[in-house]
Amino acid sequence: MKKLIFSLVLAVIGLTVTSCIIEEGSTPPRETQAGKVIFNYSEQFISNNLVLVDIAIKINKFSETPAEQKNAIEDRFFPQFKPRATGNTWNLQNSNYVVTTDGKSLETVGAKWRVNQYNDFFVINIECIGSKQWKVTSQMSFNGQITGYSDLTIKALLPEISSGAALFDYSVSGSCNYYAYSDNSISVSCTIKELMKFVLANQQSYYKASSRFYAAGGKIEMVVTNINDSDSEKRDLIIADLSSSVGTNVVNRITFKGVTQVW
Amino acid sequence: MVFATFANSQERIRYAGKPAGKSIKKSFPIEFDFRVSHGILPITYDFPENFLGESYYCDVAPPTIENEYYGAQQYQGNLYSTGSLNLSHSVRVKKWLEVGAVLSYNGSFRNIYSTVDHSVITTDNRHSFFFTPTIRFAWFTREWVRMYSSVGLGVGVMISDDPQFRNVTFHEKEIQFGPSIQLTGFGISVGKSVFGFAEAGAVGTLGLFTIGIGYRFKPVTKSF
Repeated sequence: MKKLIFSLVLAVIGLTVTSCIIEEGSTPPRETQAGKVIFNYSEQFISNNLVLVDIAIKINKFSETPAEQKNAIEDRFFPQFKPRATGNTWNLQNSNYVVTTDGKSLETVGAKWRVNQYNDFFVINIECIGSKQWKVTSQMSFNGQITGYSDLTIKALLPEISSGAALFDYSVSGSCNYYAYSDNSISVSCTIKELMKFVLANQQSYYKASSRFYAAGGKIEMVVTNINDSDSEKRDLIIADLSSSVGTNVVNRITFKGVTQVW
Repeated sequence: MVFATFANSQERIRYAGKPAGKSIKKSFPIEFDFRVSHGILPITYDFPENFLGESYYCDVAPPTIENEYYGAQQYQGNLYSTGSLNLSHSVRVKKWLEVGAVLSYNGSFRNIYSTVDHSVITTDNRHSFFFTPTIRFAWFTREWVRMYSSVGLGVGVMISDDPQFRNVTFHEKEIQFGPSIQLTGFGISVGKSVFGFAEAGAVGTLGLFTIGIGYRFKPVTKSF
């Protein structure tokens, strides 16, 4: 019997230590990957505002262009979706953009325009506050629930690449907030600390799905809060510093939980 | 084990019930065996995830900002498995038939690390226990070698960590109950009282391939 017990114990010990790897671990992301994720979403959120502002500015240019030059402007900025006015409302034909004006040029101080996308899914109000300078407030909602809003000041800059559909690049200041609702909801609050420069990402017309502006300068702070977490003090601060960027050569230093890396 | 003991007692009753003076036509001595074995590739309740990868679940829904954000803050270490550790007891009630039961344990262990400082922030460990009554059919029996097939059906439980959404602050145990099934196509044992054995072509909770050692003996019975 002793022999039996001894053999069994030996066998169990032997088998227990023979565990093996059945799946390799995943490759570790970079330390600031989570910060980059939030930066990308924040950049996209601001870019969405700029795309609509850019549409309004191009419609304004189209409306002020002499009749004999309108076709050239239309072909350059609106090759597929022709802008057509009914009173003070402009529609881009076969698109989901509607631009409502107050009858004034968007470059007249005090002029107030409104751009609506997807039937109030995304609405921005634009007010001219100076020479090629606008105050932009926006609200994004889904199923009656606000998913984001922003309060930005935008100034037109000469574009880095002046050909194609690019009319202006933009410098941006202000703040924005957006939410992701789920079992693990988070909110992101962004504050632009140093004037950010946004450049049109491609030279296609803005109505292409891939059209967007990308950040190529400035500094932004983003605070991520878990809405469901009872500990409201538990927030993550992310800083993206693009001030070392030169032209379209972007140097993005992202700081997340005390670690800074260049992206 | 209960199953084996029941079978054993039935066999004793049969022998004890023979009228005195009449010889048993072909007496067969009961034989016990104990086995310890190790199986690889057992089927546990996380089988689809382990064998098809996490994408089996994750591809269904598009990534969301919160999943991307929390997902980027941690990463998975290697997944270790003990394989199936089995302890069995059976009773040979006929030359070709053994009944018994197997107790099995299978553990898989994985650390989840912080992306920022690479410390362990949580674990994804799973412990499976199975109780599987089995019937073993020996279709080749010699003094030193036996070949057999077997079938088993029982119950099991898997206790696992459940890191929801990979959020380190939310962590609880999940318990799953289910059946335990074992079909062994081919098994061979070599030896007499102490023997080694191997099983292949098996599907179930004991593992696809199993090796082990065992000890068999005949109980001392009182003669009347």
